[in-house]
Amino acid sequence: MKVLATYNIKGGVGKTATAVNLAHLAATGGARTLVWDLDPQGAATYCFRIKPKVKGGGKRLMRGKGRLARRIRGTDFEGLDLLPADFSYRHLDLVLDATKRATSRIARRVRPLAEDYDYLFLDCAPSISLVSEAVFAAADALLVPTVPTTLAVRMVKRLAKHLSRKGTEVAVLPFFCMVDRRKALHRRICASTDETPLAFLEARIPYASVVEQMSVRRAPLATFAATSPAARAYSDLWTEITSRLAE
Amino acid sequence: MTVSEVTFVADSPGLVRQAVTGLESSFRTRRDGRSGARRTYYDTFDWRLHRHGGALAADARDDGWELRWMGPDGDVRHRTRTETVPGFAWDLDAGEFRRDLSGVIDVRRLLPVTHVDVRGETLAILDRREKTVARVHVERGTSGPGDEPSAKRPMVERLRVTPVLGYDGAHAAIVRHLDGLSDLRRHTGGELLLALAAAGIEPGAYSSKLDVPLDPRMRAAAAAARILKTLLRTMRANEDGTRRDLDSEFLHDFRVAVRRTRSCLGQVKGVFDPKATDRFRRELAWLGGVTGPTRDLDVYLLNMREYRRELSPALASDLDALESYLRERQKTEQRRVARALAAQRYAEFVRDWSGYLDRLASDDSSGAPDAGRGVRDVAVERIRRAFRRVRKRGGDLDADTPPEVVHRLRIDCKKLRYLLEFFRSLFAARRVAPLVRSLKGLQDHLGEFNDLDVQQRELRAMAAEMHERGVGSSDTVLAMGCLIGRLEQRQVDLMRRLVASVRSFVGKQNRAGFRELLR
Repeated sequence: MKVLATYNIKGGVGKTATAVNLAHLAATGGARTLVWDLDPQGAATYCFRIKPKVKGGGKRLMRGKGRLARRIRGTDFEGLDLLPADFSYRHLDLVLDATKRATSRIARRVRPLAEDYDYLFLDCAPSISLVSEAVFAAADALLVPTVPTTLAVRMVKRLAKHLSRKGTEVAVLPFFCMVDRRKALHRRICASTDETPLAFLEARIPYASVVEQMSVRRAPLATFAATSPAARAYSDLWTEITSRLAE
Repeated sequence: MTVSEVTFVADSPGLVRQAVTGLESSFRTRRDGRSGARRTYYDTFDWRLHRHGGALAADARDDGWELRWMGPDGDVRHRTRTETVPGFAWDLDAGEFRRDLSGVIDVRRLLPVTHVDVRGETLAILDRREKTVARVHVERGTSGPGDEPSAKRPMVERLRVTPVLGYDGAHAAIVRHLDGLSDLRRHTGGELLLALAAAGIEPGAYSSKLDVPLDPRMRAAAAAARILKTLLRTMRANEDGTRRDLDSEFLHDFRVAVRRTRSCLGQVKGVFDPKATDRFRRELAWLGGVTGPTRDLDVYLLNMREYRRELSPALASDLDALESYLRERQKTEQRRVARALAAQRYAEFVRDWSGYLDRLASDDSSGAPDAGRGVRDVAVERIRRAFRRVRKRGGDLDADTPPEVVHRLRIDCKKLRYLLEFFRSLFAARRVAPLVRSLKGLQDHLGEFNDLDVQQRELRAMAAEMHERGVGSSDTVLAMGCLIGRLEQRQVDLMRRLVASVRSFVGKQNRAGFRELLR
């Protein structure tokens, strides 16, 4: 089971859209896929039309001896399941803080799922916290959607530096999203990443209103706008990520 | 508490349509598209997966096959992607799938059982949020032993209700609704059973276990004829697989049937006219002899992995030359077996033997002293005598007994075992079963002891032979020497357990057991 986390310290950059679309692409490709919506806002959960409620809340989920599997819900798509968000996840930091070996907690909790799934997507809340550290320890790769601005790119570099200093083995896979070709800054930053030591993925997700439509339609892009540039971009992104993971 | 899928079938396709219309008017639903699959079910020749309560399906994919091992409810136990469908368990990548499969099919080859084409559409059952909470798959298909469309016959149309994780209630409601329809009935046993029924294949048709129903009042000759006919059927069932060398078990089962036949002719000889059976004995001895070397080589090749484990990794790789030498010889010997089974001599034997058994079954005056006696009488007498022999030889066994005597005890046990199996149906199962179990335990030890003994001698002979022919290096010979040493040590260790095992078999409990049985 490959664990992929969509992560960014900032909100509103397309983490959930990435998790939902890539997970859907993985499942339609035949892989058994699970999304864990770790964001108390529950956007991914909403997108899959599932009630944002987990029995016992985040506390039970993190600490509990019981199996995570019992809280999993099937989605509209065969082979794609969801561990829903719960509003109590806003206290996840406190819960983790009170447990032993907090940073390896998520990794240990998801390990039993490895038999049942090929991919696990962790859709993270925007922050950098104890939960984030636990995600870094659990994930094989961090998918970092990045708006092409100077500060955002700088933040990604900081993140990569932080992780390498901590000796975390997670692969950092940043990519540009909400790319607006009309903006000179976006064009320039997308073009200049070659200078940074950090390899941004080639695929770029354009700024497009169909992506926003996902929360209205409550469905992945491929189901209602399969031929849109954004949907195609996600598809390219997934191809690139799977080949990077295979390396 | 996972909920499993439930399948419903109807006697006519119209009724399935009706049920779908009914679902659409009673529940919130959405047609969720069509799908199709090209699938082949696999099992071993003796249906090991089916007997174990499962089915192995390979679905064609763009880049190979998706292999799924399903339980009786269609629940997937293991799945994996492969480029080609594995012939044997050891062709799979190491992992739980391989381990579990190997535990069931052992050394047998996976053979295609039936080829299935499935087409279907999915009806999603929705909740208030328009979220899918259960699925109903309406599936039609064709199935047949050959992959070409003309060889396939239509399967019964079916509704398969699959749960969506976390929405057990919705699944239960749909199942309840469909249970309430008198036109539908539940089907258990998965798609495989429907596919087999359509293809006209009877699952579990072959078993290597001897099971001959006899009536205690039968004449001994008629009973013997029935046993021997069953054994002839087993031989014939394994001919094709033996000729093609699909896996080593075909030849093994063939040889066991030959041996049991010979044993029957010898053990209950009073029933047969020696003039009539002399020729058949010769022919059976010929079959045993001509197939022997191949079987021995099969066993060595199957043992190779174990041999390697006995040695350090460096020495183990020195056995490569031995393995390829064995493989070459196995090929040569196997050709000899295939030729024998294709020969006129074999065909004539089968024809005449079968004719003789027909006469034996119906003819009252076969001229043999025991032919007209009741079968139970004869069986009791023969089993008593066979057990007495085992008791005598077994009672004298100790750690210093030479291998030849152990070998003779092994043969005595085999004879007793065959008799118990031939006549099993004449006795109460609760009396025979524990004795057979106990005997089997002893036989396993005796067999292992004998194997170790033979292997040491054979390895020595092979080393000499390889040297003569200039195959393999001195390293190979050294590795074989080490191996012989290990086998010798194992044989010594085994002897202690063997003595205990014999003591227990001829002990008070079994003596009483046999007395009860043969009363």
